[in-house]
Amino acid sequence: MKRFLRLLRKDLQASLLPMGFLSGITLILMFFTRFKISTGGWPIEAAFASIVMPLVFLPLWLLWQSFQTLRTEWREDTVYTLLVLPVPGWQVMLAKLLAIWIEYTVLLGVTAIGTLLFFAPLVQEAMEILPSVVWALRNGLLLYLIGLALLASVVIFVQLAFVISKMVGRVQGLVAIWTLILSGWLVEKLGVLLEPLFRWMPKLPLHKLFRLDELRQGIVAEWNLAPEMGTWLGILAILVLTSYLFEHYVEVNG
Amino acid sequence: MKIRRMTLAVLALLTLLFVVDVRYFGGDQSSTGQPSIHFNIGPNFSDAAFEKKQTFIQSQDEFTTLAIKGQQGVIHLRSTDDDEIRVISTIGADSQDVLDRLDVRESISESELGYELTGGKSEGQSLQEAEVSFVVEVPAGMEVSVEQHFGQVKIKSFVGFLNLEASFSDVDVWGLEGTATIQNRFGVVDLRQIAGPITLHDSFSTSTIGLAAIDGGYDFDIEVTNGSLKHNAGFKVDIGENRVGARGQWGEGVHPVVIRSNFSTVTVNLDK
Repeated sequence: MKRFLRLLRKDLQASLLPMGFLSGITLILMFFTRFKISTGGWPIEAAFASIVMPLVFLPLWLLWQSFQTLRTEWREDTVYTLLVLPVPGWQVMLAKLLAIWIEYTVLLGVTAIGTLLFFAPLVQEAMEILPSVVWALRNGLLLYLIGLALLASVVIFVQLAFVISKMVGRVQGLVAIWTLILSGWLVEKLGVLLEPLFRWMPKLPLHKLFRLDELRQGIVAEWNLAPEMGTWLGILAILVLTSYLFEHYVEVNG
Repeated sequence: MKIRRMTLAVLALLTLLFVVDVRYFGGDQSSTGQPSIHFNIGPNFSDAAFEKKQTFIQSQDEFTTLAIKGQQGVIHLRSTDDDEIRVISTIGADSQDVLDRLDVRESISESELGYELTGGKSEGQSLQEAEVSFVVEVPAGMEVSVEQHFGQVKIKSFVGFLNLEASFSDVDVWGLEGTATIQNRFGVVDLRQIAGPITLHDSFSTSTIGLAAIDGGYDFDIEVTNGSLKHNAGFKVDIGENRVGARGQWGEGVHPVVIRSNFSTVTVNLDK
């Protein structure tokens, strides 16, 4: 556990600077927007833009970060140390995934704090249409967890693509991109092929999970999990495969 | 080297399968062709399987106020020269069982006559699964209170006192002589040919107020917070921090036009 935490700390230290920079930029953007709205320079719609912009940028940034955390190991030759450490490959990959999760949480938190800080009346008005603060917090938490799951799958794909690219001598960039496309296609097909095995699973009533009836009557949202199960198993298998390849066959001189 | 060759071989094989899949199977998203998340907002009452109509006719006599509470449906309101109050309600539901438990209840409280949907024993559940629409005709000069959520309100040629509370609804008023007090949230309000005093409180909405040129003129008192104000009424606009205020008169300034708006777009058109 200690080794895992050390790995995590190392990854977090590496992302501390960009995380601080992005947090600062987000808050400055919100402050500036608030200032411009206050002076009548910008319309109120700009507030929405300044809240949405960091949220749109966040997945792109984290996609890049998941690639960058591995790339840095090769660029700074720390991959040698990683491979000689008595730490299994899955822990290395998991530590990087956890670091990305923490970065996502911090940046999301900064955006939320900035929104409350600079656009409090907007939040107050928005809260009036929501059933309750508890409802908003609960659904916010659920959405956050879904975000974590989606982010994890993206990071796992990127990790595989990077590790595979390091197993070939040339055109590593192209191989990485192609692996990313192929792995996405593969797990999707796996979901389709394994779907009959999971048809016994009941549909997940999202409207009950999110308590949408408290917002508006008559909303029905159901998630058929059967086609997803194969996909999720595929993603899990990719995580195991990446860890195994990283631990045993990766080319450090690549 | 062996693993490297194997990796390349697997990649090549997958590439081949990918190409075959895209080329010959069109890269179908799923075996069923259906999205895994099924999302539906509300029962489709426009095609409601079951409907029930009720007609209520009352002589105006002692009644000075009519209160209508709607949900999800359409409320039509207009004034007539008769002295009768006519209310036709239509309840829509997607099952006969639900419909059987529902009724529009007429209530009388002193000088107020009211109509709203009630659901008998299992009220909460049934009301959630139903919509109600009203066609209302009232004698000119009467006070009418309308409450509507997730639906539409259409008012035409109304003479009297109108109190309207709406949310998530479209409100269209075409021709109103009298006094109007409107509260609206998350909707669209389109008022045309309004002749008389008006008070509008709205938030997160788009509101257009078309005022008719009448004797006595208008006294404008408008405050828009975190929103925008457009007008052709010639009043003076004062822009402050997060707000736009306007005070002014047109004509003699007899009829007050009071607007309090948050996070909305307000347009005031005066037919000069």
